[in-house]
Amino acid sequence: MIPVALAVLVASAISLKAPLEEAAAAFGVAEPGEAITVQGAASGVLLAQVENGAPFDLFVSASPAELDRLAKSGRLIPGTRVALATNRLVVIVRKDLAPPESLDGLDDPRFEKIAIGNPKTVPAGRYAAEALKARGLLPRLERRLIPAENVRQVLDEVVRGEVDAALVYATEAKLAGDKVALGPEVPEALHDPIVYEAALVRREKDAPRAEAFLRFLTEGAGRAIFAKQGFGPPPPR
Amino acid sequence: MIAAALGLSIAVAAVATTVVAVAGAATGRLLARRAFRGREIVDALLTLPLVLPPTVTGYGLLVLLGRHGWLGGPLRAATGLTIPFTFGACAIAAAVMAFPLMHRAARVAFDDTDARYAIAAASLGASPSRTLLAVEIPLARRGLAAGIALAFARALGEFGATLMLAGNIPGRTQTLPLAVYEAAMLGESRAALLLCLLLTGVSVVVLLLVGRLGRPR
Repeated sequence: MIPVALAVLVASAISLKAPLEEAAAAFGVAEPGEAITVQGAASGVLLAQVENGAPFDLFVSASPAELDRLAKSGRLIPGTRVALATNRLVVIVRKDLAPPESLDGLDDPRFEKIAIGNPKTVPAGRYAAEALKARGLLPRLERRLIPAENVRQVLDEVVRGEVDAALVYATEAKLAGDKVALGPEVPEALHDPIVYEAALVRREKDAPRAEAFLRFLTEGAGRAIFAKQGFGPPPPR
Repeated sequence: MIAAALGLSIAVAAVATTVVAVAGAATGRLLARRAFRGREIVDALLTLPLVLPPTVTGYGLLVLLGRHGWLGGPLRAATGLTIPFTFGACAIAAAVMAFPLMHRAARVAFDDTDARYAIAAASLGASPSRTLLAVEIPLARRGLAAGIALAFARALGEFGATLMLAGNIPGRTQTLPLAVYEAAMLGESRAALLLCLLLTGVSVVVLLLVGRLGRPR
């Protein structure tokens, strides 16, 4: 058992779980028994958990909106909020299909089922819906859209061939490798900027290790891990 | 959202319960009337969805009925139909989860009726179907009705397997329990509470009905 005092619990957008775990390993432990545990889920789901008092020390979201809500309800430690990385949205299709030339090509009837994250809880789905709406595709595609619980599930549905196409982060498409066919990038102007932000969650006790880990993520070694896994640098302040 | 989810849930539960009532009564009667090798193994297999985690059952259904599943693949090749993310997926998930309750209730109900009535009816010239409809089912009706009520309640409350096989598409596959889940995730506590009260109310009515049916005549 990990003594509670030594454990750092991180709530992470599922798309950032892998680099955070790699960063946690690189960050190392200050004393034996210490551990950093990363819980990955849709940012909106984690938001609900934190609002209901889940014992996370650090919250990392795939969009600033979740942190805005937590800040407003006073659950974040002021001054700790920081941008970690950025991402892009791409079109992917089942590996036995030819990807469309552009986002508009999703209108093609051969894409019978198109998965996106549930826009209400999944930032990737929200960005996807924004982009489809901006191109006037949303009303036409609405009947074909399959909302998923998080962006990893969206990816998995394409890998398993349950859906024909999907909008996911570029880093997710990279994870799937040749199990999906990679289509075009979605122009960034069509949706809000995809920025991962993190902040410390207000707890009864100070969490110096969580604070140190957050600093580590914003410095050279942490940045390098995000870059290696395909994430963009945080926007200049 | 609530009206759509309620309508869908009732439709799903009605379809699932209809199928389960017939299938469960048939398997329950078979196991009550016939002694054969492996009878209890068959009974255990038919009861499995009652004790397995719903996510396990849901995943199994996905492997079986997915677009490229063991059954779903051939079905799609033959008919062009796919099951996941449809009304049918909701109904199948609900039916599979509700089936063991009907099956067990039916087995007990037929076990408790004296087989000699059926034998007497047959000896007086009643055909097997007439014996079943006019003698056996009427004798077992209270147990069967209790099974149907329980199966309906279970189908109405199905969550895990439905989420895996049918997804959570508002207006199409978002049943009441899934709507509760989403409302809770979104911090819509009023909606979540309303939905919970609705489901609780329906379940209490069903349990009262089962209780009435279960009392001796």
